Amino acid sequence: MKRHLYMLVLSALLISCADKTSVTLPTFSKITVTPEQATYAVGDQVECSVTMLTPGDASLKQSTYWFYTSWWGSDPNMTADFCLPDTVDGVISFTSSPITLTEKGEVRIYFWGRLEYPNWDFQPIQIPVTLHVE
Amino acid sequence: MKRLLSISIFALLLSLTMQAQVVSLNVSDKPLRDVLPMVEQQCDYHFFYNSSLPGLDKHVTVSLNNASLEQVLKQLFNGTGIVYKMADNNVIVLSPEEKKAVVKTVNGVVLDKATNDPVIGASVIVKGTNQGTITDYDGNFSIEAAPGQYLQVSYLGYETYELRVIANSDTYRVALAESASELDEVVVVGYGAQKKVNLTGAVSVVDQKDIVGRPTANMATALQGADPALNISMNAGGPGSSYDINIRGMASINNSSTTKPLVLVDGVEMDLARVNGNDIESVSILKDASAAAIYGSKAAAGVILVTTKSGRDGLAPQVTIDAKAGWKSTTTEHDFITQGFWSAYISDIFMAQHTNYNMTTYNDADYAELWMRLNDVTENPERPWVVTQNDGSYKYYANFDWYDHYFKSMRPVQDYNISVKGGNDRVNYFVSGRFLMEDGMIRIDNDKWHQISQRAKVNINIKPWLHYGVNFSFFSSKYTYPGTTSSREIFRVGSLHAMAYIPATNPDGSAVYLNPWIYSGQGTVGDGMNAVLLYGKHSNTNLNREMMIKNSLTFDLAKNLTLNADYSFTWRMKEISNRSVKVPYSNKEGTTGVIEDFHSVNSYHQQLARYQTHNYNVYLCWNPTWDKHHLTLTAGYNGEMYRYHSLEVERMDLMTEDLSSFNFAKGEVTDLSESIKTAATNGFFGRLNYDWNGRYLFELSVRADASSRFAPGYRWAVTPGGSLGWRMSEEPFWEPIQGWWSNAKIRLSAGQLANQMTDYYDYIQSVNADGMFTQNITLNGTTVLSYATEADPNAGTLTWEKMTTYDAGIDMAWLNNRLSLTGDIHMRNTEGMLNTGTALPAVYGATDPKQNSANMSTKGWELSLAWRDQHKVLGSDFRYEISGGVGNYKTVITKYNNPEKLLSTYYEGMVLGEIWGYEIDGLFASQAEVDDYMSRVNVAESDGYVDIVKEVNTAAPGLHPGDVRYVDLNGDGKITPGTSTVDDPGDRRIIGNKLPQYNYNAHFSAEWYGVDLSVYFQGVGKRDWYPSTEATTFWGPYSRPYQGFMEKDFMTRVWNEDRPDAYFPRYRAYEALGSRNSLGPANTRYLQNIGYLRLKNLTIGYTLPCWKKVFSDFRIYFSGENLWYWSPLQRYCRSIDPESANASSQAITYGFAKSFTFGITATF
Repeated sequence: MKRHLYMLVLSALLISCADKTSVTLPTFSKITVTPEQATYAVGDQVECSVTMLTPGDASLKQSTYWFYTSWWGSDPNMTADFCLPDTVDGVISFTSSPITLTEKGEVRIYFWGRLEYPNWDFQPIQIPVTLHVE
Repeated sequence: MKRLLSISIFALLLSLTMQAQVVSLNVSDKPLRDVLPMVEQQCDYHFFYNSSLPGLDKHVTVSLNNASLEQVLKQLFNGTGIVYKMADNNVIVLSPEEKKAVVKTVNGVVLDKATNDPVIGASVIVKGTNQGTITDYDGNFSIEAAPGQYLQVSYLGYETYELRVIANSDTYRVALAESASELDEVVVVGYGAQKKVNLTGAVSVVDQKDIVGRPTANMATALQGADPALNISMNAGGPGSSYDINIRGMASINNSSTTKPLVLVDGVEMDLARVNGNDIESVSILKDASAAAIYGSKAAAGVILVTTKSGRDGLAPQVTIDAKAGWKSTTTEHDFITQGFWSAYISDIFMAQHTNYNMTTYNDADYAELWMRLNDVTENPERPWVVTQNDGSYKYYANFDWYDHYFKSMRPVQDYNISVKGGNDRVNYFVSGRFLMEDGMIRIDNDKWHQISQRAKVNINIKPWLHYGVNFSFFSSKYTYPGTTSSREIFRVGSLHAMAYIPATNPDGSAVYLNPWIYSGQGTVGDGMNAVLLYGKHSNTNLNREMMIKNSLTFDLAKNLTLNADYSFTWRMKEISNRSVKVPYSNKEGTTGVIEDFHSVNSYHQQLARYQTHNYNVYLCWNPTWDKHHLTLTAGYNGEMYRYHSLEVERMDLMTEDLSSFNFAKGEVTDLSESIKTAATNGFFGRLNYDWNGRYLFELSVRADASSRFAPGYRWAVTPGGSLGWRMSEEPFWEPIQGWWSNAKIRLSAGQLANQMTDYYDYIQSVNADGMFTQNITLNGTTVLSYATEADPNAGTLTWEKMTTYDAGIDMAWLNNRLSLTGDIHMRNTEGMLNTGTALPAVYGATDPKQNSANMSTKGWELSLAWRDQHKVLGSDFRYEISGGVGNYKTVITKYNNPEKLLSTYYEGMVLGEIWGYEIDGLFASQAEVDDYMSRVNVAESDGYVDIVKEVNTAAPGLHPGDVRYVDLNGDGKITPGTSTVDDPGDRRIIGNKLPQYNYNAHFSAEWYGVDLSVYFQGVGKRDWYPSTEATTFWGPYSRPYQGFMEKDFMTRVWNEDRPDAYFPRYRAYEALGSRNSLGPANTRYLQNIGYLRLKNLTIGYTLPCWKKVFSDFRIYFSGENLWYWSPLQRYCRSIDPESANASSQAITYGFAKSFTFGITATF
């Protein structure tokens, strides 16, 4: 009887904790910043790249990926840096355009993804990296 | 220790002092009262006592010489039941002897007074204690009680009986009389009152306790569902909202707004919205013509009689205070999309399928901006919601909750009531007052409702034969609200272009009005309502004041003969003020523009309207009784004069935005109009009631009315009514089953009513005087003639619409009236309804005049069942009641001048409320299904009637999987409405009915140990609604792709390849907006059942047993209104209350509200 009760509680917990997403999302590496430095100076240029580790659910209908920095939000001239997947030897990676660091302080660069699955199911990908600019 | 010593010394000294007092007393058989002064004369002590002390008159004999005072007192008071106590200052205090209660077993039997049958299960309690028992099968009881204590014997349906336990009796016989509430309950009927059991007409009574204390500003909401025959639907949920009401369906197809039941409050016509529910003593609903006929001209749609409370003889002033406070919120969910990405995305994909371009001009980069902000509930500095462009214009990437911006989720409500009543044999009175304050749901510049009610009733017995009564009531309501003239406007236009990606304000705080990021160049956010509200200079006030004073005299001319005369004057004033100003906005940094549309004008408008009604009644009542014959004869006169006067002014260009007065206006006078209407009726009425021994009942009434609304010669209408009743349960042959079948009555009635609610001057051909000044003939630039237009000729022979009703009913009760049933079947034939009469030749040159040319017939039924009982549970009475009722009706047009049977108007055989529509049997699942359909149905010929195919200017022309599939019902190979006649409706059929069917209610109440509970459900079994083209909350982007209030899970109901069984079809904007678009015409698939079940009221109270010395009653309670509802509509739309769907085909109304209030009621 006790065993049944435990199983019931456990099942309920598992159900409640289960990811509501019905699809498996692709996984990505961390952002690699080139050149890789502990600190950067204003005016430095960097390139960022991300590698897809697993492709995720095959039901993916459409995907869009881009890089974005934390200081572009209020700048009407800066828009998302869209990037297409680059496949080399079966490895899929995404590389940004050169990004000029224009502000001092801790700035963030994001790798964003918008993935569309059936049934109006849109899923986000967000990978940030923080750079120290002096 | 020291204190004990002091007391002992004092007692010793007192005793010594008393012994020092020497008294000689020699009296024989003298009252103690006379002896005490003799003692006082001989000592220094004085007696202090209440002169009504029992025992003072007892005769005593004492013979003592030089005895101590103590000895004398001991002998003197021995056996008198009086004890004495020496106090300071040489005072001897006398008091009654406290007898030790001797508890003993008291036995008894409880019987029915009329039948001598034992009453089983009657409650017997020792008053003031929790000790009690119930009677057994033979009516016997046994209980422990002391002499002097009271036993309280009660049982449902009987008057509560109290008896005092006396020392020398251990056995009691209690005869319970049946209570007035069951058998002798008096029901207010027209110009009098009758015993409920003697009613022969269809009259139902609403229990006072179902109304009093309800947290509603409008009595109509409290009466909703009170009787299955009573159909009340609110037109909106806001403060002061109007309502539709009818009894047993619409009485006429004409003027449904005015052909309403006559509501009489203490005999004076009044709107239910202006009646304080706490003042109500009883409500009677006169449903058939025999009951209502005596009211004649205005009673065509039935009568609701409201009687307010009165003082009564022998009642000490009694004050009742009721105060409650709580909050309101909308009944529905408003979980709308607040993510800018989704609002832009959905409008774009819907628009793209309608045309070849998106709704917004946002590109991929903009969508990326929206996507990155998807989960930003508040603005993230890294990702601002408004980005100022290089040219200063703003671009919007917000996640803005427009519903929350406009509307409050919770709003406070306060309701305070006080009443005083009392009286003696000469004067009785009832005075009450109410103050109700309620915030509205508009958040910005919050709307507010203030309501004051007062009532004073005084009855004076001037002479034993002359009684005077005065009844005064005052009502005042004030509703202030922001925005444009109609408070509904914000609900209608507020969501347009109010997409979640647009915030309400720009970074500089200016209001957002224009959205330049859409295909057409600009969208007006909320049609300017956002800017109007944020600017806060628009203001509106609706003020209503009503005063009524009624003076009445009753002469007792002889035994059983009274003459009643009364005069009442009702004065009502309505004042509407609307102020609007020019409203600024900004769509570019550093610039300010002014909105240029009708929402943004500098004007002031005011309407003052006065309504005055004089009402007179004189009537004689004679109610003699001979042996078993009871007769009541009522005859009299009723007259009424009514005058309406309205003055309306509007002027432009006020010099200030902050003050509103015509003195500041210097612009054009855009409105200056006056309206005066008068009406009068005179009526004579008579009614005869007869019953023999309460067994055979008969009633006959007649009324003759003349109305000024008809031409001389056509003004009089005579409306007779009659009814019969037979109380079978009073027959001798019923006696064997009387024990379990307590009451059985059959009622039959027939009668006629007349309706005068046409327009005021329908029989007179009018001249449009307004045009005299605006319509001119001009020659060579000079006005040579001003002229007025003449209305089309009218038929001078117009007269009353007549309603003949028939009713058959039963009233039954079983098991000592614990179980009761009332049932009625009824029919009403309305004849001579005013409508377009015989078609005249075209050479006539004007609209065919109205005639009394249309008839209709309504048939229906009602059934009510109730169970009332009580049991002893854990030492206290548990009283409970379960009741329910259901009713239905159907109205058919039986005569109408529409020989072609056009569906655009009424026709013979039409069921009122019927909805004609197409049949949709599903969505196309595949291209093969589409191809098969196209081979059978010529869609090109269908277009123009039902555009089931978008051939041009669309992203995907032609039929596709996911589109709706109309059924070619008549098999002619195309989908058309035919000639829109009954004989040729094309591919349409009757698919539903918009009138409510199966009104029902269910009520449970219980009381136990001071706790009371009342649960009241009300509902409509079925009611069909086809969402109109502008029902934007239901249709979402299928109506307008730029409306912002869209339920979060809306897209889960939208078809796509992944979701072939979705409810809504392939996404395409505007499909519901045009009446010929695929979702525009009514059809079976999207027809909604807006029937509902609603928890109308839940009240839980507790009457505190403490503070009885101060309060005779002190109760705390919770009362909730509209707390929960269920409707089939919820399956597809949770943001529309079924009642708001009924109120407006667009379902755009002030939100229906539920309320939670906590209160106290104290009586002292």
